[in-house]
Amino acid sequence: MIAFLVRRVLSSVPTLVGISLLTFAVLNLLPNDPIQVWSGGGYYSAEAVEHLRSELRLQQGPAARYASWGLALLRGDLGRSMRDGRPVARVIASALPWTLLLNLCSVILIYGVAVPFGLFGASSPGSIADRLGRALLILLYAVPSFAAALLLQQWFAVRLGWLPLQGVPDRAATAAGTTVALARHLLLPTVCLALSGWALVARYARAAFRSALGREFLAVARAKGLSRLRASGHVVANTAVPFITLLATIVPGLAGGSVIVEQIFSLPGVGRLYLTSIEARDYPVVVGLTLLSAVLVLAGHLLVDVLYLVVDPRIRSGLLDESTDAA
Amino acid sequence: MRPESRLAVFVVLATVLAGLLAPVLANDRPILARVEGRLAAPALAELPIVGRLFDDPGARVVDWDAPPASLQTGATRVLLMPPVPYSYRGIHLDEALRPPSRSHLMGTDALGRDLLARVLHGASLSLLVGFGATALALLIGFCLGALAVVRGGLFDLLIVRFVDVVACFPPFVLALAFMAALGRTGVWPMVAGIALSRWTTIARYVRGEILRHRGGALWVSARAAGAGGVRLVVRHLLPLLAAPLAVLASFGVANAIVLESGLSFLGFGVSPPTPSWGSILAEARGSLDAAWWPVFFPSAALVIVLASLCAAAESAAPGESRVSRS
Amino acid sequence: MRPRSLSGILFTLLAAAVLSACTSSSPPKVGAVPGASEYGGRFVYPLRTEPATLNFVTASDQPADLVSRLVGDSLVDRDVDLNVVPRLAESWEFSGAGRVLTFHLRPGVRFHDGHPLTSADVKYTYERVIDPKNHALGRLDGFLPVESLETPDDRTVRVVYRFPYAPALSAWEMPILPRHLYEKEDFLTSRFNRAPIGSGPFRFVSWEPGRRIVLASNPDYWGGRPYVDTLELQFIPTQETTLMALLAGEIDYASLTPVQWDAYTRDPAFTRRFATVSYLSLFFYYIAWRADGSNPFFSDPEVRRAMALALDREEYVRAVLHGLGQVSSSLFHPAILPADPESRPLRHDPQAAAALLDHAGWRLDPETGLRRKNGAPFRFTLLIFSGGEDHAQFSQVAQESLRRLGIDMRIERLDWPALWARLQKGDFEAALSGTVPAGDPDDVVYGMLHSSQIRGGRNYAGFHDPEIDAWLEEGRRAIDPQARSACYRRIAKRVEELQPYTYLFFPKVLAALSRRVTGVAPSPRGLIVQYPGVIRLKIRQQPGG
Repeated sequence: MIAFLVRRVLSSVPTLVGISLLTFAVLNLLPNDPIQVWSGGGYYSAEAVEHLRSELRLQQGPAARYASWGLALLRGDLGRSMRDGRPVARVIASALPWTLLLNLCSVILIYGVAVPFGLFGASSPGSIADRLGRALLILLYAVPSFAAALLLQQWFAVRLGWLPLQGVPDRAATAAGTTVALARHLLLPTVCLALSGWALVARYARAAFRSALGREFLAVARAKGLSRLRASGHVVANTAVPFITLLATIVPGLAGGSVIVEQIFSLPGVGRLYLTSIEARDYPVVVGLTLLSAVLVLAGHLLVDVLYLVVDPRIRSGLLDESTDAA
Repeated sequence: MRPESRLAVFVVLATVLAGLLAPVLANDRPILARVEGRLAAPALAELPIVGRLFDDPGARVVDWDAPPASLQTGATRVLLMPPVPYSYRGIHLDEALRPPSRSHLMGTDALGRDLLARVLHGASLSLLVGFGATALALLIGFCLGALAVVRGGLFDLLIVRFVDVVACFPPFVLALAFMAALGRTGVWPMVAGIALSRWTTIARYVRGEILRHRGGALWVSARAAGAGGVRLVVRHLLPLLAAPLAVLASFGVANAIVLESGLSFLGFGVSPPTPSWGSILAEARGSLDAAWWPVFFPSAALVIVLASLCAAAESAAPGESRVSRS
Repeated sequence: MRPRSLSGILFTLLAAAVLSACTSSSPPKVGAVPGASEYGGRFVYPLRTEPATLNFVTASDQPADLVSRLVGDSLVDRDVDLNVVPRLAESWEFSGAGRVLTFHLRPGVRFHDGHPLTSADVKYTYERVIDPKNHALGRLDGFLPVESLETPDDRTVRVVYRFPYAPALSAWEMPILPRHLYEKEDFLTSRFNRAPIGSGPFRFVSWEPGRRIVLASNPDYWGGRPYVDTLELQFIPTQETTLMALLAGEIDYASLTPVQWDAYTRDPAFTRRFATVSYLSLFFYYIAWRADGSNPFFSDPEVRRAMALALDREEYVRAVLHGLGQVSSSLFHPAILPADPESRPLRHDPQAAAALLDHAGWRLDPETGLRRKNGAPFRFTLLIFSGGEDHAQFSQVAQESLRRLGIDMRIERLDWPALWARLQKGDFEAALSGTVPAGDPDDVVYGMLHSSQIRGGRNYAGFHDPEIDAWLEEGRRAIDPQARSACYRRIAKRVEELQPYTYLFFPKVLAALSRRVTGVAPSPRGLIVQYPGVIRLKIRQQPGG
């Protein structure tokens, strides 16, 4: 198992190198003028620019910049933000927990709703309830997240006043209080982000359960007197693998969706930081974030492979074979 | 096919048709008119591709905004107006933000433009981006995926690695970075940006499927008949893959339309006055508190078309689609 | 199930990380007396964007400028009517035929850490600005004409200019840095750049990235303790969320669009809870016509005049802005330079525009319905900024007006860095943009009109007129206010004739304020930016609170 993990991690090294190369290639095109960053969108005269001539001469060309960036990256240094001079790693670190938390909550919400939904659909396929339920989920998938966000905000925060509208909470006196406040603040954005995932996961869940329900072990289990619920538990355990795989496909979409959701709900996460940095052409931060999101997705794939091993011992041998092939 | 799937396919086809025919369905120029004795079709002249056939210099200089009375008599007269007699760009500031009524079925926007006309024209742009980006993604994905198998060896390994790398970037992030790097906005940068982030799924799928067929009877017999790599793929494998690819493509179109509306919402969309559903929504944000219709109708159009695309794709999916390992 | 419990662990870990990122910032209760006291309370103000840095010298964006003015203290400032008023400087005088400016500092002023503020701090701040290493682009302009700066004693600052420099005082609206703190650190990466210490009416408390900046009143402020205890600047990136946050009672201020203004000012439920304020800000829109000959259209003043005549600015302000704006009758905001009663600004007149175009050789082509000259069609692209709906709406109205005249104008929407790059390079035909000048007339026009600013400056139109150049230089050196006004009047008149830029309109700022808040007076600069502004703002205390 350890050997497999080591091999699996090693095999993602070329991908990692490729990711950094592609980040270079795409972002090399970003027009990057220090005058623009220094002026911050404000005003200045030709004489002021002339005054800074000596500083402008010190600016490296793109090739040299990338060379030094790559070298620093190997040391784990992402450089400094052109906008505020802070180390990029620290800029990102302050925003990352929020996005991770938001995405994690959405994943839990997606699975928490979609799996029972799929199970229900699979147990009575073709019924009116099944068909209506699927139609509803598809409709929810199709609602643009910003329209959904504005609607949820309008109703739950402004009209009814049940939930906070935007932002993140202050720390309360007790840990429990803080958790509750946090949950209340994150509820609406989490729902918005989850909307697009439900249909997909429920669809896979329904298909997977249908094929599992047909299998004979279930008949055996039922015959042995297990309740319907317990039997369903067996089904879920038996179909865990495709769900884990699905995780790897929905997370990148969520990461993209959180750009809009964080913007509308004023959450201090990575998505909003990304937008701000693109708008300010704060090139080191944009590079750092692009790199980070790709690496996170890669890590997600790795995690999925590990989960395979944990969940289904039968796969273990297969995966090991495959990775030996690749090596 | 179940009735709801049939409905879904019908909605998608109707939307495509509406998008293509938007200049004829909604226009402030007549479909048919008499210009100085000759027949002219100024609305048809705005159709994509075939429009040239109907172009008439005489009709171009006529002031169709003139009061209707002056266009009923004399050498120039209107014979047939489109069902929605407004153009998507026809600004009437005095009609701003009118609620839905008999004359404006979806109401008007902040500049007094007919929303129905804008939603109809928006269909053409949203679908152009959706289908254009998906077609480009299909082309790139199919070629690279097939080439990887046919060429094999190091080339295959490189392609697989490249796909792995690109697939790691969240689509929205990649599209946004691409458009910012380009420094231009418009339909084509957007199509390219979205395609860039969408082709990897297809490449993976195509490669996997072709690999599955390699060594099979079809492959061997085609090889034996002297089919080269390209011929083999195009003549024999493409037809096999057409149905599942169509399913993947439908989801791709839906995804691309969602991406487009998101990019438009953030201000990276097409330039005005061209409407897309996303840009109509973005424009309506400032008047949300006084008028629900500029937000409601484009949203409804988006929801209906996206849901139909997904429902159509789902019903066409063979055996409820297997989960492919990413 | 194991995955579920794994995610449970992950959740707990993340929640812990997030919680540790939330700093506890309960408002410091600075002697909050219950009951009748006018002091106390928290004012929550939204900011669309986050400042890059809070270093008073290198800060260049608007949010940073706002915080700098609250935490820092400048020698002079401007009041509600944009008059220069004393702040750290008790008084000042010009001597040496307008070349020497002497400031006399207020005695006993201390930084928030208790260290006294002296003329050495002023000198230090000035030196940081002119040091090219700090690339303080936004602040440099007003200090480049300085020949030398001397500090004869702790309370006197003498600035010698190379020539009589009339806009000199504007540059001294810059907050003063604490030398004793910065000297020991690297200037550009100092920790004080994110936790500034100044001598202003508010002390810095915390800056939570992506979330908010919290300031607390400075009880020892020489100008008197501000009424509000806590000033919270929340970062809310979208306009609609900002307004909803006001409605939900999460913040105390929000700006409105004209449509929202119309809808809400008629709603008694809204006006009961919120006071509405509208005022003309310094911000105005303009179109720059690239006039350097790189396109066949706009190097001809007749064509530019025709464009100005073709645009229906009055109708736009009336119909789209619901009358909540003012068509520019001169390029100067009325508060900066009152309109010249004798000026005759160009007004919408399509017939006159058509006649001018015909005269300039752009004649209607019956084949295409477009105007042509020497075979070239009148077809150009207007660049606009993607950040505001006004830009898109006005350009579309303009597009329709021009189409009726036989001109095909296309619109290209770009985000600010992309637009800026095109403007800088002169790679455009026409561009619609907006600008917020500072309080001095020189600041409105010199950068946009002087020919020295074509390369590297912001004379984006590439406009060159020897007469205007001469008047701009005269305006800078004219110490006598009357002569200065006359000079800028001449400039305004000639710009109206030549139209290198077409000045469009000043949109009104429309704002709603929580009824708890009293004591604000809007100035063209904003509700809380001018001096004393926010210091006078009071929060009505909740009964029993």
